[in-house]
Amino acid sequence: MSPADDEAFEAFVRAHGTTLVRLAGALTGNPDVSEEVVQSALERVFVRWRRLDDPLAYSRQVVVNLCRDRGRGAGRRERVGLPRTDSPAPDVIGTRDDRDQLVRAVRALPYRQRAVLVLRFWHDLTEQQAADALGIRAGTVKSQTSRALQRLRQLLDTPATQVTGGRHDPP
Amino acid sequence: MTHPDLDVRRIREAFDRDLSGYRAPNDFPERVRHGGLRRARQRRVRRVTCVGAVACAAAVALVATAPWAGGPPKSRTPPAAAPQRLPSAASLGKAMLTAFDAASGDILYSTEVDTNKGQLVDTYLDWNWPAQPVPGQQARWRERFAEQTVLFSGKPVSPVEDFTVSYLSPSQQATNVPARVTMVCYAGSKGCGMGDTEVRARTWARYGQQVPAFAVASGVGAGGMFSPATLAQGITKGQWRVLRRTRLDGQQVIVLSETSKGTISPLPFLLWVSARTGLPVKYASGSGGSTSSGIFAYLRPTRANMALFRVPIPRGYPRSDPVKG
Repeated sequence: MSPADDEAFEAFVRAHGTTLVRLAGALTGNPDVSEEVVQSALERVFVRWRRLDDPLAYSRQVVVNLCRDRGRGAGRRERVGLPRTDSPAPDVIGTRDDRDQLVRAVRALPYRQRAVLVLRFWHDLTEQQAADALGIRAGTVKSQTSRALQRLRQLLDTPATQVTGGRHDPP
Repeated sequence: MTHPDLDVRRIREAFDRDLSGYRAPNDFPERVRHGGLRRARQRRVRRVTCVGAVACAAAVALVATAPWAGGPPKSRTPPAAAPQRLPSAASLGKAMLTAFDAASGDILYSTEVDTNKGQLVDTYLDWNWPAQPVPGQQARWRERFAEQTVLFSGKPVSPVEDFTVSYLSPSQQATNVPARVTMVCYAGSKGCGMGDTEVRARTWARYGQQVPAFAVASGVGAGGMFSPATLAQGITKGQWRVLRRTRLDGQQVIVLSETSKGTISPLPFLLWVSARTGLPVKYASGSGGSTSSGIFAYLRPTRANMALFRVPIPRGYPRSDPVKG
């Protein structure tokens, strides 16, 4: 890697590192795993840096793939929504419980549906960009989004104990 | 509780709040660069088709000193128990070092195959000679790399670059090494070359350049992550667990699994080591979506095998001057 490439790569990591960690966080719900996954993904980007037309798109692909791999094992527990305990932000508008439950419900979705929602609605990707990140067709993104939202509504209509094994909202 | 108003805004707000504590650490660029260099170095290492039956056999013959070569001495161990017995970590480490000393002058041939969802993403074929060069010694490295034209697209892999590098083996402290490079850059490649030198697609070039020292290092050579010395040390530190003895391509092997103390990969990583020679012969990592696997073989540096370092120039490819990037 030339010095110019090296500088460009460092700038890339500084510019997108946190975004990618948060993407992994949205998919895994685990800060440590997120950091580890993104580091691993960016190492792959580093190796291919000069050959990549769109390093950010490639980084997203790798992060999504690695998160899925991790989710098959230890990440499963986090996915179903055990709340994180590290310094929650203040609840300025008084709807924290709703939001927490929404996040838990998203993480309870099957991986592809979860990833579609995160990429489309939180990461603001187009259907085609989300499709590229997931390695599926844009049409599949559309159908998975629809199913995910439907399933999400069902999960949120279900007493919280069934979603999370814990909390229950008053009627 | 019903959610007729479930919409994008609410999902976004919920995640913004939930993820506000997630941040890339300040030293992320340094950590990633360090890991990337290690990964690049690791790529110089794999391969495995024990095509090198010849080489493997040669190494085997030279390494009869391994503690369990051919099974432990009959006078010490009951014959029935011997084949299944696992070596201790200490004896495995010692045998690896002995074995590699014997094979260090051979050509290391290695392959790496990466897949995604069962589809081939890229392949690396590498030849390093000597497998463990001494600083100042004449050395060669060839790599033939192919990958999907659009990553993760399901399209077949196609050749990207094929190059050979001749150099004097650098010291451990060197960052760059002067080298003579012959590079073929295949049609459709987006970029070929090492360091700050680029070769245009559908051309070939021969030139001198300073090559990053980490790039030319063989994965099993001194300091390499699969070097017997590194592995032996890792075993001592608990980075590897000796799992079992089994058979692979007709030979007895010992399977090692990287533990959570390991440094190679966050994913499951298995390494097969020849029970007769103590040399790494295969590895596999990943699960589900993405996998990486490779093999190692050790070839005698005969004239025929040394010819493997010659890069074939495709017909119709003109010679070009490399460009400084």
